[in-house]
Amino acid sequence: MNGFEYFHPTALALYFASVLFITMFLSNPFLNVAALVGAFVFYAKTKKGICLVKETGFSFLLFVLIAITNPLFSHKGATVLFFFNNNPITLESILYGLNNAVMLTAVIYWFKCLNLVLTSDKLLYLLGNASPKIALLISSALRFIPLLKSQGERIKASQITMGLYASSAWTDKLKGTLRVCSALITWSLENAIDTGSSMKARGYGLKPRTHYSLYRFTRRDALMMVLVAALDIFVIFAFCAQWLEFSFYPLVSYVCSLSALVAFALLCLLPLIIEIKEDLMWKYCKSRI
Amino acid sequence: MNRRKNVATFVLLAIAIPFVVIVGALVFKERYYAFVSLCVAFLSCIPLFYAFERRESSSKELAVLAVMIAISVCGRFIFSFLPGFKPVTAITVICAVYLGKEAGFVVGSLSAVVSNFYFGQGPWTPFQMFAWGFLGFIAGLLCSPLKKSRAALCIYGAFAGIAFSLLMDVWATLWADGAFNLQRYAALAVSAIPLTVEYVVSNVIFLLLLSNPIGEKLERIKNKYGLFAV
Repeated sequence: MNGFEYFHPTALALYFASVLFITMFLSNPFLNVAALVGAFVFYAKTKKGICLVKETGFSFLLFVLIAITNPLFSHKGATVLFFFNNNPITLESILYGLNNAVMLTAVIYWFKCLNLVLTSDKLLYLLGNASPKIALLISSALRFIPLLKSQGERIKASQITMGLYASSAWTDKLKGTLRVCSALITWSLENAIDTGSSMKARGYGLKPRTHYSLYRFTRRDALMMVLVAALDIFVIFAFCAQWLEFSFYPLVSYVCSLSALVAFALLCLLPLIIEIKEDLMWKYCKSRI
Repeated sequence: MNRRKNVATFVLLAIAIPFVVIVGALVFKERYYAFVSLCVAFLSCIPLFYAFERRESSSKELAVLAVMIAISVCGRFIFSFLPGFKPVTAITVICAVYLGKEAGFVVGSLSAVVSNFYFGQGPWTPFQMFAWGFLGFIAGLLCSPLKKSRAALCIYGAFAGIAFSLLMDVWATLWADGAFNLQRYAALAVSAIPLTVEYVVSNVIFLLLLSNPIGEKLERIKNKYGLFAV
């Protein structure tokens, strides 16, 4: 399988950066809808089942909340629908709120996809080139978290065997927890010093060291990056050439170039297209055996 | 070395931020504020990260910082059932007071990044990095009064809670509206008062509970191994 997540981290980062950038900042309702559909479809394909239903419910609530609050705060627009507390509620501000809600939900879903695809190891690989020290800090902090958890459990167990177990009173429980935390912090700082000495002994910070990298940049990645960049440039050019003008106030008016919309929709559906292509390829290969 | 660092910081802040503001104003009409705020939050972190990257620091110092980040993230986990009740600010402040302003900044901002690997990254990550990082940095600048008096520490904790809450409200307003709508900001800030109170209370409680024990341990490690010597 060579699904979307197996692309080189650089290609994935370029992809997510461009989709998020266009969705967040170009502020065109048609593009936003395309982004929302693309993100949701890819997310639904990757993450199935009850979890998806729950998350969709939650983001729908957020969506409604953002959409309905805008008309309460903004009274711009020419088409007055009705009055609420002596304030005019206009059609334009309702549409504006709706657009913002679509944009935010799309961004949230793209970030969910990003969290699924561009996992911490890939992000650290990308960061390691720009700032090795910070990448090192983040990756060792990520390692220390499970370590702290297991050591905390061991300290707790040993405190219980020493007879220092907490009674049901909550002050006693709190004291017990604080005792465990204190021991844990002392231990983890000492452990950090050991880690540091061991890193030094193995030559951390010496000049001629190289990185091991798991990722190889292949022709597939180059093709993908060229395609993404081309679509980006086209959409941004269309935006700068004012082919994607959209204004809500005072009356809704817009120009929409179909070609830019198609280009962006293609960009948003790219992960899904790749996944489906790989699925079909897999089925085809299996049928040939 | 030090001079060059200062110059680089100055150049970045003096050129990049106005550049972003102007380009943002020219190109992105409606989402101008969102774009500018995101970029400013991100760009203002860069000089400090750059300074940290360039500084000579031993592997032991890095490991200690990583452990402090891990501790604050674990704290955020333990109390994640109470949304505003997190020890991240307190631990950042303690690190800043005992290990220096740069350490405070790094622990605060990277706690945001690392904990969001679990809680989910989003457009809010740069704002949390900015807020926690600079709360740590300021605490590091004020380290001598904060080290001496517990009252000052409590006041700083309360200030940090309010500042964090107000900054996050700015974020929410900008993203929900696209523009900075003062009315909405006021409404959000008022509706977030319970959360603000929670931030303040949790910061003060955690600072009072943790500052002495963790401070002693950090001080001991610092003296024993000669780390973070300024």
